[in-house]
Amino acid sequence: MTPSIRNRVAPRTGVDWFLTFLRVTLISVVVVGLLAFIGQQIDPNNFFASAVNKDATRLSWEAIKDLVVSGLSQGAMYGLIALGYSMVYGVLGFINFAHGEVFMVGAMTGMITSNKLADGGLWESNFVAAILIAVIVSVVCSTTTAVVMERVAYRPLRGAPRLIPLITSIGVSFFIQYTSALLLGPGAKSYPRLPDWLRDDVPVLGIEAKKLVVLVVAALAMGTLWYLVERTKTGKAMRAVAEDKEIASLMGIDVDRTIVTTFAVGGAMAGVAGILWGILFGSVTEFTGFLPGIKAFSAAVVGGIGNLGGAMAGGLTLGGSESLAPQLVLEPLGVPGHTQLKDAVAFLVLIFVLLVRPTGLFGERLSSEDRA
Amino acid sequence: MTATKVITTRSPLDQDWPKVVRFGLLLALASVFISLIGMPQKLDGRIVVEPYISMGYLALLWLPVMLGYAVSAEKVLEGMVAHAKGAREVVAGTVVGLFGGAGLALLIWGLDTRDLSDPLVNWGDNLLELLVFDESVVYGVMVWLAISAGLGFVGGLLHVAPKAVTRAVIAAVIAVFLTAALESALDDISEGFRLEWLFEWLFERRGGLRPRGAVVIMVAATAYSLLGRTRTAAVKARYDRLENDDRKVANAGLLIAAAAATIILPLFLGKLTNELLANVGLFLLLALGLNIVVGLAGILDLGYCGRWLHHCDSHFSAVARPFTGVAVAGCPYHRGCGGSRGRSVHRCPGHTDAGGLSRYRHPRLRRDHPPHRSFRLGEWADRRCPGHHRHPWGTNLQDEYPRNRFPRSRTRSWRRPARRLLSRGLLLRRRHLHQLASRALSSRPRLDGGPRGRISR
Repeated sequence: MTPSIRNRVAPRTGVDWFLTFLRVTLISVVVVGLLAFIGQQIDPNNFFASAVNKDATRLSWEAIKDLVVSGLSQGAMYGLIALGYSMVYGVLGFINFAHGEVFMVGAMTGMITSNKLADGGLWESNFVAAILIAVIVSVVCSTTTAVVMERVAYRPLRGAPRLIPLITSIGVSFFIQYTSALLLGPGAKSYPRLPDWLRDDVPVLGIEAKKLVVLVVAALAMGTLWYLVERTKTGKAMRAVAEDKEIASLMGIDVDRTIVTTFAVGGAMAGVAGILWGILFGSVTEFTGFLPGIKAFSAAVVGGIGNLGGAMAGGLTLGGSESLAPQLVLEPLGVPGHTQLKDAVAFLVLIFVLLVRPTGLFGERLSSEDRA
Repeated sequence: MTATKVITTRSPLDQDWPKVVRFGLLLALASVFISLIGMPQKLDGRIVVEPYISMGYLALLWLPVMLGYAVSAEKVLEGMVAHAKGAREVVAGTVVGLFGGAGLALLIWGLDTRDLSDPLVNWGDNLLELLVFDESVVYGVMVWLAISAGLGFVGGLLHVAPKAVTRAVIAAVIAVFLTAALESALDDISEGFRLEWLFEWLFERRGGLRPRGAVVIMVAATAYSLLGRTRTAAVKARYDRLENDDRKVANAGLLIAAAAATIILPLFLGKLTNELLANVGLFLLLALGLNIVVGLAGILDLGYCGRWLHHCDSHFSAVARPFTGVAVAGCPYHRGCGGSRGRSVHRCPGHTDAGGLSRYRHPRLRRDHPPHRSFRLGEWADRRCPGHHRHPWGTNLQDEYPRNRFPRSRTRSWRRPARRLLSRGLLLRRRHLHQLASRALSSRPRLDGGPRGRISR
């Protein structure tokens, strides 16, 4: 490289200045909001807190703990869904927008199974066995959906430009949504009543029992996935295919089968997340997969796409942010309707991370083709 | 390069059975799926040919023909061995059809013996009655087996029949289906052109084509397929051969014709068709914009249609107040728009930053990052102004479109001369056309040997 080229500095365009302004603004808002929050926690009537928000009130530590637990449990679900996005991206290099609908299929089949089990009395008499059956059915259904999706919609497009499967995945997403509405009827469907020990008012270790269940199950699922990817031959094949398909096939790895396995594992994770959603929120609609799907994708990008640990951490970051930021940043700033802005916060976090660290918090793991 | 070698017909039993079974199961699954999502029930009210077939049944009937054809379709590369089509293809189609019939038969049996209405909302007596033609279960099963196998047979037969015949049959069936599907639009158009008599001759009053209408349309489609198709191909080939200036002239002519049709046709078309065309125009504009962004900037701007332009501009226009004849005032939601009257939509800072951020490509960003970022931006736009969701104007639907607040005199002032020009200058005014047509139809040859059909005042 000649010195003249090396020393050349690209001129800053208007867009660069605008983006710098955006970064500074976002950071300023967060810092001022947090300072105002600290101020109001110390004394709601102090000058700084009351100057920013006249109606400032102190938030109890109990409330803050609840927000953290809610954020983490929701983030754990985003993380589980994000694993599917991340794995498929790692292997195929495109974003499967229909993955949110695989999650919805899991939640929907979980709802059907648990209602049938509740009708039969098993839900009440032996909840653990019932939820285990519901998890198995839901995982089987979401895995089947993911595998069929890959076989029918994506495999024929294997050699096509990247935008083609991307658009196809949006179509598949709509297809699954409306198929669900036509088969099972539109609108919200409820899960059966949870047993008493899982209700909101029964704490276990100081945390709401169902949120603790969500966190524990998500951690177990993540651990299992980590073992599968890092310690088994299947996982090694998946990593090899993600790295370079051609070389992997030359090494004797069946690329198609590995891709199907990846979809299946991602679908299974989405199925688990679907059941957790049912436990946490108690109802499901045909559009349940849309927003969590988008947020999970955001989580995958925030954590660093292709990076499984990053996906989980991104989910927790996003869930935590959207739970805490309205109370810790927006409310002290006096933003009206701050509790309803959690979705906006989630997307702002994504934009912020992309502006500051485009590779995500934990860095991307890309194939050789993508790195080129 | 060697030519494709055609060898003799294979034996009817020399099948690729796994493939046949796969297609058969696919047909069975598809038939059951279509039944369970409620298509036959919901479309049963839409008649294709009265009293023979409804769109509900058609939703099930086209599948065996298509899959019966597809099971034997094969791509033969140049130089490779090709087999002559014959009884083998017909047998394969029939077997596939039988599988489809068996699938429906199983569904009928299930509907009769089980209750799965929870969770399957369309599972019930209505579907059962429809599938068994209001007869017994055994009758329904036998009929579906026969029909499905027969249609699979027809699908296989399409390989054997001469190409011209196949094309003609397909053209005739599609023409009848399209005519029936577009019944409402045709009704609307026929009213505009005063061709109600033709519409009533073709269609039943209760809906659906009359048998004679179906026959006429089939004959016309067949005739076009056999005779007119080559002419159309010749015209297209001639157009393709045009070069440089000739091509430009031809393109300009086509463009002018399309523009003239766009201006003139809405005067004659009815409300329904105009609304339909208006929607087409709307999506065309959105598609053109997106196409430019994708084609020239190389970015699939997923937030473009759904969020930024369609959504934001629709809200923007819907709540705009047309003071002093200015239709677009300013965005009351976007404080950045300033709320000043007459400010252009495209000056809205939201659009500017969307464009700026979408096109901004960080060196570390891969080529598929911008679409995702744009999609997120769209979602963010949806949520960044609380007013969009919680303003007194409502959460989802903006129905306060200020249509009545446009000054009427201004509207008339440009419309009237335009209409006058069109109606007088081009002699296409609807009323005149109608008068001329009705007089011409009612006139009789004059006894004094005057010109036939002339309008006498």
